[in-house]
Amino acid sequence: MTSNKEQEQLDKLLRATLAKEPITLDFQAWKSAHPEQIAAYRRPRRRLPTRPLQFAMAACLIIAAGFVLQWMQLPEQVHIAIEPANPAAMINRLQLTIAYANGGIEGLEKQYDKAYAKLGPRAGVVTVNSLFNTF
Amino acid sequence: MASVGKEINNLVRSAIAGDLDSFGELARRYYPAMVSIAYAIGRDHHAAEDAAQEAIGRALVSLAKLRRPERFGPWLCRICRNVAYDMYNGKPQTASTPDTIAPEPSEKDDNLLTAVNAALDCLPKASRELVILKYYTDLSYEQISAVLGLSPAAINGRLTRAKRKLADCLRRNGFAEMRL
Repeated sequence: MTSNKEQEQLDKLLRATLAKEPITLDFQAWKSAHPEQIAAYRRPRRRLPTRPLQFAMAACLIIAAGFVLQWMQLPEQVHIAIEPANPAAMINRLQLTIAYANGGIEGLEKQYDKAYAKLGPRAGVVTVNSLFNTF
Repeated sequence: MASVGKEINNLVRSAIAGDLDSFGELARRYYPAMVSIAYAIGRDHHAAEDAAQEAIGRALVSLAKLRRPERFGPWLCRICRNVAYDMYNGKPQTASTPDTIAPEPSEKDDNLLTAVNAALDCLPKASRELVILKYYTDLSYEQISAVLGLSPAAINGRLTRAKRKLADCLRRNGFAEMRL
């Protein structure tokens, strides 16, 4: 720990070693020596948005992205239906209920059409029961 | 102190809004501190003035990017520090001859001044900068506080520690009695 006297001596010594005459800036001279910087400062600038505005813009972007993603959702993701393996299963009670829930009467008809399309052309003498039993 | 800070904030806001005279006033106020900071790095007064003037130019061009006007002082001095480091390629210089206004010192005094300069070079960068800010341009604690963004109490503590290290270094080099 240095004493107060030593501190004073050190202060004097540092002043003697380092002290300069007052340093001043001639700003007029500086301006004439730096025309490019002055021109860049005076050039109209594109103002950057403030922080709250940046947050608002980001929020709008996220909401818009949400809407776009919702609009782009694939039909499979909207209508969850497991396609049964055979025509008999396609027209059981559960599948027909699902088809009705998803598409109403039209959905129901579509389900029947798909079942019959899968069944394919058959001779008229064959009974429906025997046809379904083949699957 | 608070009114000075408010005045500086107003000047900064005016300068950001496009008032070059306000910027000129700010540059005039901070110039001595900037020269001191550059001198702490390069230990050459003329080069320090060049660095400070270059830093003023860079600050003027990028003033619109300043988000917090109340941090103008530390921001300006950081630019000055970077310019000085660029100028010396990141290598702090040592003062070979005392750059003083002392009138024709004797051989003994000259040895002591050289020893003080050498002791300054032994200090960590931040401490050396603080000592030079205080004694090179005789800035007050409040002015140094505005430049470094630290409280006057913190400045006082750091300066005391830096001076203690300087005194120790001088004693180790055989200057037990520090007399001018």
